[in-house]
Amino acid sequence: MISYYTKLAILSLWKTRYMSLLAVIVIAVGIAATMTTYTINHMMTKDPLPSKSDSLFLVRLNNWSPESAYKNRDVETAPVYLSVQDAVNLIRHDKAQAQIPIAGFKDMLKLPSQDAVDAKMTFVRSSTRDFFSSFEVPFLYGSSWPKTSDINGEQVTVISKKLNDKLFDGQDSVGRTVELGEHQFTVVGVLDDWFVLPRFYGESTRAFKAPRDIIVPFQTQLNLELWSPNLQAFECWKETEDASVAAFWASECVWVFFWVELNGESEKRVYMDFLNSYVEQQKALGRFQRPTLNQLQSPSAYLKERDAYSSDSEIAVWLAICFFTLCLLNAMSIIMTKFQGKAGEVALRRAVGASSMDLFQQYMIETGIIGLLGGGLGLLLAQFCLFFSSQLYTHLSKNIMAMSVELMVITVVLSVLSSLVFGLFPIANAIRVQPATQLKSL
Amino acid sequence: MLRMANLAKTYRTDTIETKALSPFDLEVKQGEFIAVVGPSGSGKTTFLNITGLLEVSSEGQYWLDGVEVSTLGDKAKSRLRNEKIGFIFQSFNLIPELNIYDNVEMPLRYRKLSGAQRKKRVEQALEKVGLASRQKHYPSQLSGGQQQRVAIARALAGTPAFLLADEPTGNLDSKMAAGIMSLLKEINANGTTIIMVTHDLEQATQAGRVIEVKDGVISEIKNLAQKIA
Amino acid sequence: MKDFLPILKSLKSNYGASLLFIFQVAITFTILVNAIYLALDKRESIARPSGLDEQNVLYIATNLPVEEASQASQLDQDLDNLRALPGVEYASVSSGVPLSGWGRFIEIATKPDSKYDTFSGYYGGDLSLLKAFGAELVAGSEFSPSAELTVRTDGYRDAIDIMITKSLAQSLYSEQWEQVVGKTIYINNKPQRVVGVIDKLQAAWPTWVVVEHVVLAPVKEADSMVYYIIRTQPNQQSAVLEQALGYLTSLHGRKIDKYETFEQVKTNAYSAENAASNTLFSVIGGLLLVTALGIFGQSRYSIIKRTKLIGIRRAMGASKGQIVRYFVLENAVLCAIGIVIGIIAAIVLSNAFSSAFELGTVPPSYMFFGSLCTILLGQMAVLYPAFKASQLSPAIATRTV
Repeated sequence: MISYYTKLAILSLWKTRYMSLLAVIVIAVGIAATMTTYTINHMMTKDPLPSKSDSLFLVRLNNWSPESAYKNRDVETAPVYLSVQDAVNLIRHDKAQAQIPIAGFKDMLKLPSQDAVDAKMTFVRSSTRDFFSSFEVPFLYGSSWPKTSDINGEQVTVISKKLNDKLFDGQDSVGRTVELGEHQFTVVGVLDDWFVLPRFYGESTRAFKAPRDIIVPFQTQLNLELWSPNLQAFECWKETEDASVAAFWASECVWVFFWVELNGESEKRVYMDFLNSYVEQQKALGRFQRPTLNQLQSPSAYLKERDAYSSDSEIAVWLAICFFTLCLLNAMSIIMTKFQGKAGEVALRRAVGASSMDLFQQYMIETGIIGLLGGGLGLLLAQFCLFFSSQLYTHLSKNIMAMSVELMVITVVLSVLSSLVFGLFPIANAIRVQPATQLKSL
Repeated sequence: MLRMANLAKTYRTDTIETKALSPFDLEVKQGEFIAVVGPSGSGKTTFLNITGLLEVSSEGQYWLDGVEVSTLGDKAKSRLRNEKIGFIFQSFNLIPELNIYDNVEMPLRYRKLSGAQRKKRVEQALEKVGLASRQKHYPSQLSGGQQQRVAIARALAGTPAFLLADEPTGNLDSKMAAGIMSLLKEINANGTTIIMVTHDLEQATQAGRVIEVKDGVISEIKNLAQKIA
Repeated sequence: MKDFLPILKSLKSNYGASLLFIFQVAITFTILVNAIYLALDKRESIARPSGLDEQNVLYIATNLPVEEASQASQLDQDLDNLRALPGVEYASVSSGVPLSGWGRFIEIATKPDSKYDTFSGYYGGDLSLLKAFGAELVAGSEFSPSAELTVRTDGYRDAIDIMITKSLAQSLYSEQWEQVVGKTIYINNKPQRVVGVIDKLQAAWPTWVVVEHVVLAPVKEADSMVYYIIRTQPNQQSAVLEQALGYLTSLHGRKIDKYETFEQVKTNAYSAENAASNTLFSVIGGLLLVTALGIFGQSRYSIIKRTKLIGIRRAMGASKGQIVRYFVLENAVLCAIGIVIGIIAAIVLSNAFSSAFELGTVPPSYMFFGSLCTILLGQMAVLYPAFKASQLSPAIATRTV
C-alpha cells in the first residue's frame, strides 16, 4: 500500500509541480533559518566536555587585598584566577588527579631556518601535560611531553595540526625545532583536529575562539620569564616590587586559571580539605588576609558566572522558530490550495471504495514527501547559511558553524513531522468532501 | 439483491427543508437491468447516490445483499462500495495522470490482493471492454467512447454485484453511445445487475424495468415502449 | 462600506483559509516588530560616537627596548620623533585604546573612604592625549603643563588633575554636572581634582554598561608595553603609519606588537553587533518575502475559487473598480484582524524577551509603524490578484465551472 501511495504522491506532486515546489521552498527556508540559528546556539551552549563535566573544577582562592574585597562586590567572591606562586604550589603538592594551569604569552614564531621578517606574532598556551589527558586532546604524531618537562621547564612544545601543516607541510615534525622569540622549542607532539566549544578553560570573553596553535610547559614560561601584559588579563591589588617579570611572578597579581580533575565527591572533599589547609598555612606566612573563600567550580558554573553566553543567539532561535511557523502556515495554505483541486479525485476514490483512512494515508504520504524534500533542501540551505554566518560572525570560531550528523537528521525529521502536523488540517478538509457533490462535474 | 423500504431523503439547511425524495419502496433482483428516467433536478442522481452508498437516506431502511446499510460506518460502507458496487459516470472520471492499467486497477488497490491477482483481473476487465492493448496509454490519448469503456472496465475489475451508471452515454455521440449500450447489455446478460440513469427514453426501452423519478416521487413505468409509440 | 457585510460573511463561510491568513499576518507582525527593534537597537550601539576623530586616529603597540631607568626618556624621545613625522597632527602615549578591549577600569566615589558610586574607564597619557584622540572639552580647561607625570604603571594612583566625561559627571552630579569642575573626586579612594569635562569619550569595552564613563589623566606610563596614539591630517593615515613603523623599528630590540587604525578597532569591537543586526535584517527580508508571497498566493487562490461569483457580480453591473475595491478591502480587514492579534503577541513576546534577555520592551511607535508596514505589504501583495479579478469577463457567470 505504501508503495502505491508513494507512486500516487509522486504523480500528484509532479502534476502540481509549481505549487509543490513553492511549498518545498517555503518549508526549506523556514527550516534553514531555524536550524542555522539552532546550530549556532547549540554549539555555543553545549557541554564542552561531556565526559569530564563532573570531574573538572576551577580552583578559586581569595588572596585579595586586606583592605577591600575583590572587585568590591557586595557578596565577596574569590578571583577567577590564581597568582603564579599559588599555581606553582598547588602543582607541587600534586593532590589532584590532574592539575591544569591555563596561562600563556605571545611571541614571534618561526622556523630556525626562516628569516626574522617571516616570523608571525603567535598566541602561545602554557600548561602542564595534564592539559592533554584531562581535556581529551587527540594526537596525530608524538605525544604530550614527559612529567620531567613540567618539573624542569624544558623547551618542548606540542603544536596543532593547522600549525604543523603550515610550518612542516603536515609531515611528522616530532623532533624538529621551532623558534619563539629568542628561544628554541623542540616539537614533541602534533595534535589532530581538535576544538572544544565553548572553550571553557580560559577567559570567558574568548570562549568561542579556536584553541591556540602552540602549547608549551607552564614551568618553561615561568623559567624563561615570557610575559605579554596585553594578552592575558591580570589583576593586582598591590604594586609589584619592580618592573621585572620575576617580581610579577612573585607578586599577588592573579592571572593563571587553574583547573583540577577530581573523580567523585570523596576526591573533591579531600581536595577541598587540602585547599583549606593550604590557605591556613599561607595565612600563617602572612598571605590571604581576607575571609577564606576557597571554591571548586564546574565549567558550566564558571561560564555562567562570567556571562559567557550571549543571549543574541537564543533570541535568534526564537525568532527563527516564529519564522518557521509562519513558513509552515504558508506551506499549509499552499497545500490546502493543492488539495482543493483534488476534490474530484477524492470523490472518485471514495466511490470505488477507498475509506477516509485510505485517503488520509495517501495524502499524509504526499505531504510527508513535501516535508522530506523541504527538509533536504533546508539542510542544504542551512549549510549555506552556516557558511555565510562563519564569514559574517568573525568574532566566533568557525567550528561553531558546523552541523553534526545528529542535527542533520533532526533537521529532516523536524521538517517531515512539522509538515505532517501542518498538513493535517488541509488533508482533513480535502477528504471531508462529499463524494456525491463532486462526481457530476469532474 | 437490494431492497429499500420507506426510503426518503430530505435536505436541511438552517432555514429551509427540501424534500429530495419522497418515501418509496423498491426491490431489485439479481440480474435485472433497470433504467431510471425523469427530468433534470427531479432526484435521479440523489436516488443513485443513495443506492451507491455515497449519500445516506434521511429515513427508511436499505438492505444490500441482506445487510442493512443505513447504520454502517465509513469503513464498512467503503468496503461495501468497493466489493459490491461498480460506478460508471457521465464524464468518465478517469484520473488523467494515471495510465489505463492504473486507472482500472484503482478499486483493486483498496483490497488485499497480490500484484499478480490484480494484474489478472485488470487484464480480464480490459479484455471484456476490448481495450486490452491500450494498458499503457493515458486517458487523453483515447476517444470518449474508449474512455467510457475504460471506466466500465474499472467498474468491472472489482467483479461487483451491480453496476450504477449515471448517464453513461451523456457525453458521447450516438454511434459511441450505441456501442456502450450494447456493452452494458452484454455485461448484464452475463449476470451483473445494472441500474442506469438516463435521459434517453430510447435507451430506457432497452432495459428490463423502468423507474421514473419526478419531483422526488419514484414510480415504476410499465410498457414504456408503448407509451413512447 | 457597503462591501463590508459581504466580506464578513465570506470570512465566516471560508473561516479555514481566513484564519490561516490572519495567523500569518499576526506572526509576521510579531516577528517584524521585534526583529526591527532588536536590529535597530544593535545598530544604535554601533552608531554611538566614540568621541574620537575616528577617520584619523591610529595606534601602535610596542615595547621600550631599553633599561628600566631610561624607559621614560625613551618614551619622550619616541613621542618627539613621531610628532616630527610629516602628516602627524598629534602623537601621544596612552594606557589604553577606546573600544579595543585594552584599558583599565577604576572605581569612582564623590566622598572619601566610601564605597564607589560608579565605575569608569581610565586612560593616562601625556598632555596632548585629549587632542590625539580628537575629543572635545565642554567645561573647564586643559591640564596645566606642570600636572604631567611619568610613572611605570597604574598612573591613576599618582594622578593629581583629571578630566572626566560629561556622562560620568552627569552620573555623579546629574543636572549640576558642570559644577564638577574644580571639585575633588575619589578614584580607588585616592582624591583627585577635576579640571575639565570631556564631551564624549568611550572606554575600552564596547558592551560595558558604563562605556561612556572615562577618566583621563596626564600621567604617562613608561611600561614594558606602550600604546602610541597618532592623529594624522586627513588622508595621511597609511603614509604616517608606514613612516612611524619605519622609525620605531629602527631601534634595536624593538617589537611591534600590534597596530590598527581606529576604524579597524571599531569594526572589530562591534563585529558581534554587526553580525547580529545583519542576521536580523536578513530575517526581516526573508519574512517580508515569504509573507508577501503567501498573501499573493492566497489572494490568487481565493479569487480563482470565486471566479463565478465575480462573474455574477460583474454581470449584475459591478464596475471593475468595485471588484478591486472588494478584494483590497477584504485584504485590509483580514490584515487588521491579524495585526490586532499580532500586537498582543508582540507585546507578550517582547515582554518575554525583555525579562528573559534583559532587553528593553518594544516601544508603541514600533507597533504603529509595524502595523502600517504590514497593511501596506498586504495591500501591495493583493493588488495584482485583485486587478486580475477585475479583468474577468462577466460572461463567466453563465458558464458552469
